[in-house]
Amino acid sequence: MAQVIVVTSGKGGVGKTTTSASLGTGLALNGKKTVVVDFDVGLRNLDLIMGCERRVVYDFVNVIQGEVKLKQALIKDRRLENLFILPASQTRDKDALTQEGVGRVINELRGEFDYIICDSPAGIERGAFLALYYADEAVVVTNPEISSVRDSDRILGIIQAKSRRAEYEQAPVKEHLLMTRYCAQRVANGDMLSVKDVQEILEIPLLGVIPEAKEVLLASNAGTPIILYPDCNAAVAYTDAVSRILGATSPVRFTSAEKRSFFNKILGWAT
Amino acid sequence: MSTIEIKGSLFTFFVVRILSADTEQFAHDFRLWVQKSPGFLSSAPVVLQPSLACSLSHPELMSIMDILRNAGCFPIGIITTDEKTVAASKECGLALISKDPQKKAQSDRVSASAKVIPAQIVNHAVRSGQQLYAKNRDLIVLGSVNHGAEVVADGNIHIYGSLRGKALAGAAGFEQSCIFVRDFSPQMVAIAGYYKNLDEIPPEFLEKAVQSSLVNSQLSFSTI
Repeated sequence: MAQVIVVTSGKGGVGKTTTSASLGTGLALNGKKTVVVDFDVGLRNLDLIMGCERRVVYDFVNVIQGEVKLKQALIKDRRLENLFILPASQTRDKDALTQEGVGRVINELRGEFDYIICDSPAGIERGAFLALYYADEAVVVTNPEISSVRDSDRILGIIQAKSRRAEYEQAPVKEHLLMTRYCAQRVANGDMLSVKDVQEILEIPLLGVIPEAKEVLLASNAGTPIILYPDCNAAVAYTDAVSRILGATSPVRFTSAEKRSFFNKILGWAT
Repeated sequence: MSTIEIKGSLFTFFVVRILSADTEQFAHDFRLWVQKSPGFLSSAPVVLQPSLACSLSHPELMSIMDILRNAGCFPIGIITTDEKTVAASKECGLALISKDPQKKAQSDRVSASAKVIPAQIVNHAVRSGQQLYAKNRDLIVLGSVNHGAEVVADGNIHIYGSLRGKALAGAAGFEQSCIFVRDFSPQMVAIAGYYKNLDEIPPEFLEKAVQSSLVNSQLSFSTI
């Protein structure tokens, strides 16, 4: 049974597209046939982050409007056999998405794929609404700061009230909290909200904590999902998150500040 | 301004049970009874209750009422389901009083449940941007009311999680409404239009279990 997972946040710039790319890649690495759909019509980024920008010919809007077949618009990932991308249009705006049209495409994708990752645009307008409307699960990407938490709370309310599952009184959308850009040292210093603070407010299960890592920016620029970077904490954390989507229950890592070793302390005193 | 007020009230009446339609016998027996307890029924309103076997015609009922009036009491109603007696009592101007115990209990239950409007119970968090309104009743929230959320009730509000948003009780003006919160850090609380923002709430109540109520048109807080 295909699962539709929306990656959403309300707030912009918290790491939705980075997360969509890495979760999609991670699921494909686990042998799941996966498609990542870019709902950010007009401001498309997903193809950049997944390194297929130059291969975009047709897009999501073309499919919705019946100009091309779904197969013509799907881009197959160069690295992974099981991974596909349905890019957004750069030249249109979000009014080009219709509820009925999105539903038709999602249904068609359900027949082909194990996982359909919907990369939501920021905000709570049409694009964000349609990205979450057909979801079975939601990954709510949240940074450890108060405005991001508020926006996540808002988007959770919309998921609970306006998603298709809510409308048809089916089992509710399964919600996951994914904390990104987490800096355990700054949490310890009291500069950032802790995982516990955020969970107290949002009251949804934790899917993972992605530590702030300099490699994330490099990965975006290189068009390689961060999950493919070896020796990077963020990649390890995304790999853990993917395994939890698939049912694993591993303990969450990277939530406490690294203890400075005795040697480092001496270095610290010396300088 | 209306010149009348209509209220429900409960009274106790003496019931005169009539075991036979023989009015002469009734007159005799009643006289004997009054002789034994003179003045007991004088000026008292009484309700007649013919036995099931006793069906009364209009003249029979009239003469029974005359006997009672002569003894100084006022027949005001009758308890009966017998058709002939019901017709006769209408002609005599007697109120028909229903005293079927089962029926009464049932009607009590109906009116009781009509008066109690069950509280609206919300078993999840109320999130930023969401509004809830419990019209004409209490609101019970088992989760938290988050920042930017608003819960409104015409009655009381109970919040078993944290209140971080706004809670407005007594929205239709009922000043006896209260707000009960297990973890109190609201943006705003209001009862019947009297409100206080977070800045105006004494800090000693924050993050405590708190009851808010109106005292002399002032919001007052107490820990619970």
